Amino acid sequence: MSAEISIGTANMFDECAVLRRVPLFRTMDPAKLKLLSFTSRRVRFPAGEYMIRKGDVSTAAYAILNGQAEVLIPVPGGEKVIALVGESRVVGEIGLLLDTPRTLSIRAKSDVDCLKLCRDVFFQLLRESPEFAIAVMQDLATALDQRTSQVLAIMAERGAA
Amino acid sequence: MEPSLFGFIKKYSLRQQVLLTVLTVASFPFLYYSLELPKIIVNKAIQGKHFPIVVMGYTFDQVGYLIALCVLFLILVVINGAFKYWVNVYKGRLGERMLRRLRFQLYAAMLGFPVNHFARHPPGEVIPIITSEVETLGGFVGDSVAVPVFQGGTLITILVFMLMQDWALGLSAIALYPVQFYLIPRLQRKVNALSRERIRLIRQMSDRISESATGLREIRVHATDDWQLAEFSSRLHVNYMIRYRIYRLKFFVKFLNNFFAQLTPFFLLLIGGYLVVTDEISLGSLVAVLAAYKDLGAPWRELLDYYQSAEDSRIKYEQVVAQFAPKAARRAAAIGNVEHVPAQRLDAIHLAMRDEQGTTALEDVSLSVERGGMVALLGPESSGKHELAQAMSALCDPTGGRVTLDGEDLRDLPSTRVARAIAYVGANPVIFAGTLYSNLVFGVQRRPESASDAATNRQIERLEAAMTGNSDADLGADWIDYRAAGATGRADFARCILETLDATDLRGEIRDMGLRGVIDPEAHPNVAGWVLEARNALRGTLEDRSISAHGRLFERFDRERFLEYASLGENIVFGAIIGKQLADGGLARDPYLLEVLEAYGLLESLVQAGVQAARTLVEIFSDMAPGEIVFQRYSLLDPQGLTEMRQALQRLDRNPNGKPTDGDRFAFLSLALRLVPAHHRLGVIDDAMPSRILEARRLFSENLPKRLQNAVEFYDEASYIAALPVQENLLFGRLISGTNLTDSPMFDIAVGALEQAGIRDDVVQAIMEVGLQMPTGVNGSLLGPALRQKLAVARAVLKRPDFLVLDDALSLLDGAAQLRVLQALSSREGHPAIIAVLQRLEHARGFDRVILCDRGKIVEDGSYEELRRSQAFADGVLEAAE
Repeated sequence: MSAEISIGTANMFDECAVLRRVPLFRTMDPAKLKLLSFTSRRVRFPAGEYMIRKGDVSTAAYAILNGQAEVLIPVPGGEKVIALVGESRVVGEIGLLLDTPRTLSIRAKSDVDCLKLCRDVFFQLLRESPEFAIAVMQDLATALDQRTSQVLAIMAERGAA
Repeated sequence: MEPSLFGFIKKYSLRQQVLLTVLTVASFPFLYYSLELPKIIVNKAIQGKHFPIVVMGYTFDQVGYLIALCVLFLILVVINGAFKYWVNVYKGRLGERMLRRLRFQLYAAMLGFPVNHFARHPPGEVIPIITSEVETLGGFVGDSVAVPVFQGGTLITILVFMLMQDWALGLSAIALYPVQFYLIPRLQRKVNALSRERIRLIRQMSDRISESATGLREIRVHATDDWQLAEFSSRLHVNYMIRYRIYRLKFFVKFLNNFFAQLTPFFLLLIGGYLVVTDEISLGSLVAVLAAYKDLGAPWRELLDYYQSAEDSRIKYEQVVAQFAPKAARRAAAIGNVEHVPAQRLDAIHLAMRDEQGTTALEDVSLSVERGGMVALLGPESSGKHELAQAMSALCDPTGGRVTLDGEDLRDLPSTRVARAIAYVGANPVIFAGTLYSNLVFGVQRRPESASDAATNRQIERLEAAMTGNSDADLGADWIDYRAAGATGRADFARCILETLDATDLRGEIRDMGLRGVIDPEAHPNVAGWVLEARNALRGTLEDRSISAHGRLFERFDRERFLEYASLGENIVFGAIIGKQLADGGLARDPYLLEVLEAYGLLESLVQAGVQAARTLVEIFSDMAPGEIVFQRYSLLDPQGLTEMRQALQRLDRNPNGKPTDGDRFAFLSLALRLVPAHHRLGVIDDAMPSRILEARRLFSENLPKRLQNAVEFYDEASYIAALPVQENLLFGRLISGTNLTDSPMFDIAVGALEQAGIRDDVVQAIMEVGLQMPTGVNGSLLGPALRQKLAVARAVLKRPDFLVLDDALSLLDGAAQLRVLQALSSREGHPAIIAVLQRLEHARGFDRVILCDRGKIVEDGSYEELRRSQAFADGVLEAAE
């Protein structure tokens, strides 16, 4: 059960300005950006609510408009914050692409306003705009590259120890 | 069923046919005399000389005589008309009754077909048989006896007259009849063969069409339209050729007949002329014969037409019966009610089954199941487990051995008894078009003992039904057999349904449907009453909890507040549009609304908001294909609406004064009224607008003109709002998440509050009642496959059979859900014996006995634990079907 709470009247043009700062959407055509913003649902997570919970299967991805959220990994006896994310960050985009259980949890640190991106529109954009598709691939490749480096670093650490 | 058409006619309408014939013959003198009378009037009344004359003791002068004869003529005209009218109506009615009887017999015969019949024979062929093919037979039945008797009689009378004038001349008039008698039936036989072919073809075509219609998705997926069209075209061609040949033959017969008819005067003149010349007969006789011959043409043509349509009808009838009779003989329709005696045991005894190709499906299988037992059947797909389950449900007849219910062979028991004791559910159950409820109670329908309120108006219906061998049961009465479901009566039935839904894991889904459902409170006053009670009970709790804890989870329909999750139109009306005066954009055109908007200076700002919104929508959606799901879901406009908006904007931009035309103003206003502030964050609603809208809202309801009274339904806290789903009625507000209430944190809060108020069960029952009204669609297409399976199991469980046969009946549920249902079914008090064909051994955990079939035989038989230890399990045979 998600604890999304939508908020009242807001302006999609302001949201577009925030989305524009997201690396993924930087080069996107303005009309497409408006489409994305228009079709997204604006939601607010109060501080302490989980936006994404490890193990859940959900297709939600969020673009954070303001506020801060914590990225959590499970550790014995609880969870550990490994990163903070804030305005103009997209979280959970893997969920747009795959129906696999979430590998990480994300929790609102302060009240977080965000746009819940719609999967249909996301795919639509991928189909229509090769630039966007490339941007998504680059984003994923960057993430993969980082993970690989991290894994290698950890392995090297273990090898050294 | 009667094998021949005339047998059918004789058996069911002999008396009526005799009456029709008598009437037809009786009408003849009047007709004859009405034709004679004008001659008499001219000859005797108008040109007559000897007046006054005395007729039947009355004395007439010339004018008096003329008037009397003309009045007589008028009377004859009326009598003739009356005869004709009466005979036609009688014929038509007789034909319709016979048609009705035939259709009923055919449908009843179809219900008696073996259940697997339509797996091998296309069902699309049966439909035209019962609907269109027999249609023409009705028309023929009325004519079947009267026409040949009457026209034949006329023909013979004329012939006799001719023979009496002169036998040679008479014979010459009919000299060509033998040729016609020889030729015409031969040609007709060809027509008949073609007709048969044509009937067969049309049947195949109907089946083909229905197959294409159901397979539309596959055709689309593989884009085979081209082949489909070519195939259909070739069928149409064959049909055309046959029809064309039929026409040629038919009209050739007509031609021949006309030709012979013209040929005969040739003989008459030649032979008759010779006889007159040689003084053998008088000229008067020849003229009389010629005149009589002219009259011969009409009845002869009538008889020929009759012959053709009789042949046509005979063939149709025989074709139809041939299609139905042989298969139907096996089983009589399940009619009438039997008192149910709980059955104790079901035994398969030395069962053998071989399919049509001779493949052995079962070989000497014996299995006994006692009341309350739990038997799982496992094995590979072709192991015979399905056949065993079906044979034990009387769905297919074994080729050897037998299945007995308490010692009696299933084949000897009435099907109502079998149906009451054994319930079979397969993997692809049929869900009928209707509601969930109508499907659920499908199995507990019995002929009602008490009549409906309308029963007094049914006398004619019952009389007609009795006259045509139809069913005279009262369809409007309550057909539900509450006792079969274990209820004491109607009131108690809801409990049985809830229990059944619980046992089949359906409660949650149906509750969700109920919450989303829209009902007419007048049709369900009970539901509306409970929802309103719940609304009252929830009010305080929801206000406190939902607003304080997490900001807002839902938006109350608060008359004093601007609603962000309702459209602007909804905000102004503060209600739902229900009347057609305001629906479909009518709101934006209504002078009253315009007046209200004008009063608060809203009209112009809303039109401007519409213009702004249109600009953004056109920009976003213009280059998107209309079929895209995104377009359909989010654009607010249909493709045509979007095009119109684009054109309106172009007109606006071209207009030097910058104002939209009157027509476009409505379009922009209409769009603005559909904007939902929270969803359509287009930045078109300024800060001043909400408060002005609140004022407009007040004015709108206060001065609402009479003509609009029934066009809107205000959100009135004290009444049920028919236009809104149950959950919005319950909350008297809208969930912000736009989801189901059950998915919202509100749900637990609401359930708690209802519990506290002590009305939880009643409210739940009301919601379930709504959920069960959900339509199922054609073949249950509106339901998911797993839901269809669960519904079918629930349908079987509700009637409380003694033996429940689940033949892969839960196969589309996930493993945990399957176990849950099996567990729930077996833990009910007095549950039926369960014979379940399962896919995996682990699903058989709760069963007393697990049987492994392989190649038509039982190869393992033991408890779940024993089977787990068995060699077969180790070999992986038990998981083979996975």
